[in-house]
Amino acid sequence: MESEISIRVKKLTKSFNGNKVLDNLDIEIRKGETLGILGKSGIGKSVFLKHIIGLMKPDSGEVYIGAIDIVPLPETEISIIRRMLFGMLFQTGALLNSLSVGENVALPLREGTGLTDAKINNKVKEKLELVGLKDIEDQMPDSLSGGMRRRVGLARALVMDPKIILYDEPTSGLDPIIANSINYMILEVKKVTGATSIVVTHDLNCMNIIADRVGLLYDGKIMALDEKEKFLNSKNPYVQQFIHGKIEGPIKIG
Amino acid sequence: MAQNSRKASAFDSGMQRIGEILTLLYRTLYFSTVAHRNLKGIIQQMSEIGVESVPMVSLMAIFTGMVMGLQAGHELLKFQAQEFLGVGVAATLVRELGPVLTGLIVAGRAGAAMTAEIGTMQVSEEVDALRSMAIDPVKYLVMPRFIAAMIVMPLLTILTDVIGIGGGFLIGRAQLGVRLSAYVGHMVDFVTLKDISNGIIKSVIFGGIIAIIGCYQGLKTEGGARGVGKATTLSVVDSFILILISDYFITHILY
Repeated sequence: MESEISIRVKKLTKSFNGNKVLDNLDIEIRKGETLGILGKSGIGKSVFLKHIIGLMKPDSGEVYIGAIDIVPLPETEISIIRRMLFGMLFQTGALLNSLSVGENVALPLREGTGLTDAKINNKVKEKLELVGLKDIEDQMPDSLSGGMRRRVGLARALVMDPKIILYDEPTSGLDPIIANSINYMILEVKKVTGATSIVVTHDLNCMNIIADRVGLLYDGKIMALDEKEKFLNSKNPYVQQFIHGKIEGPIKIG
Repeated sequence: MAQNSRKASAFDSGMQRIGEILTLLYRTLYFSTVAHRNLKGIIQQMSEIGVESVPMVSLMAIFTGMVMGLQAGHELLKFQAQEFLGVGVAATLVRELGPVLTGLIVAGRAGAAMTAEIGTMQVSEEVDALRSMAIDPVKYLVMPRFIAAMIVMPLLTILTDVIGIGGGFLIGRAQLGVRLSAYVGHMVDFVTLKDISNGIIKSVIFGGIIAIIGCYQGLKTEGGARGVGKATTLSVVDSFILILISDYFITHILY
């Protein structure tokens, strides 16, 4: 079971205005693992994640979730797969500003299930507690700090009990202490839910704490992919340049 | 050669835009069949589009009515026909100016606000977040605004008509000595039920146009704060143009 493949991406290609952001990208994600994708800012990490959950359509390529290629599916069918399998934490939480914290977390339940108010409220409480928050249901997103917004965003992503969780830069823009608290929260969520997780980030510390395997995205391709220890000790010049932050090397700046 | 291909691509992107707007309209109509499940959202939008437009619409209506009283009144005075002022003001307002001016005000106020709000949600990934939670943005964001706009536009138009007619009377009374009984009496004789219902039909259609264009531009927004500003401008411009053009064709069909 450990090595069962949960997500398989084949020859994924996507261009924006003639600029190839993903170029024949291949990768396999195992069931239950936490895969970290490293890459410098603006290299297409978020674009990669959005293809996995079908928010973007590739120019060509396939994205298998289990046995189903979601690329040719219409939005209505992808939507069903998202509801059954996916939760995603967006870069700054992407909370709806017009709704309170509680309403934000409850939203997928209200729109997607026929649960009663009491059951929804219980579930919201449970997920907020899982991310270390209590009694903040009535606050508005505006009044929350960056770290709190991520936590609420994660609670909302978890409320449908997803089998696959996607994290888009979960620690960017946070101070090291808050960032670490988010890292350990992600570990905790992993322990409780056992979900397959993909984390894209440029934060090496985050990667060190949460990832089982690590890949490096550059030039539209996965340049290196290995177990975390092996990855960090790899002789691959791209990996060496990235993890040591060298200015000289195969990765171009700018 | 290059110029030709530029023309062709402008034509293509124009056609593509029309196609996208019609698709959005179709999907909005589809989700309107389950509108009763989101009454809270619709009522909230009715308040934002409708109630908050009342002061602006009232101000516009009273001065429009007054200026019509002034202009038409002095012309009518030449023929000693000032008693008919009510007919002139009411017919113009009910048939044309009421729905069109109200539409332009609502497009500038509420349509622009819709674009700015949805556009900000788009650039801050909130729309993507909705989709990631299997919530269709058309159902959640567009449909309530569409229904609400089509309900409040006729109400605001009736308000414009009534206040405008009142404004006309104020001037007729003060400057021309027109009696209320004559002002209203001739008005009731000449302005038909058909005039009123046609004005209402127009206003419902304008409401739909404002919401669809406002939401379309919002959902198409890209490129941060600057993109939101650009989308908002486009939304107002496109709504204005569509209201004015469709006004002609609706009038042509209805009369």
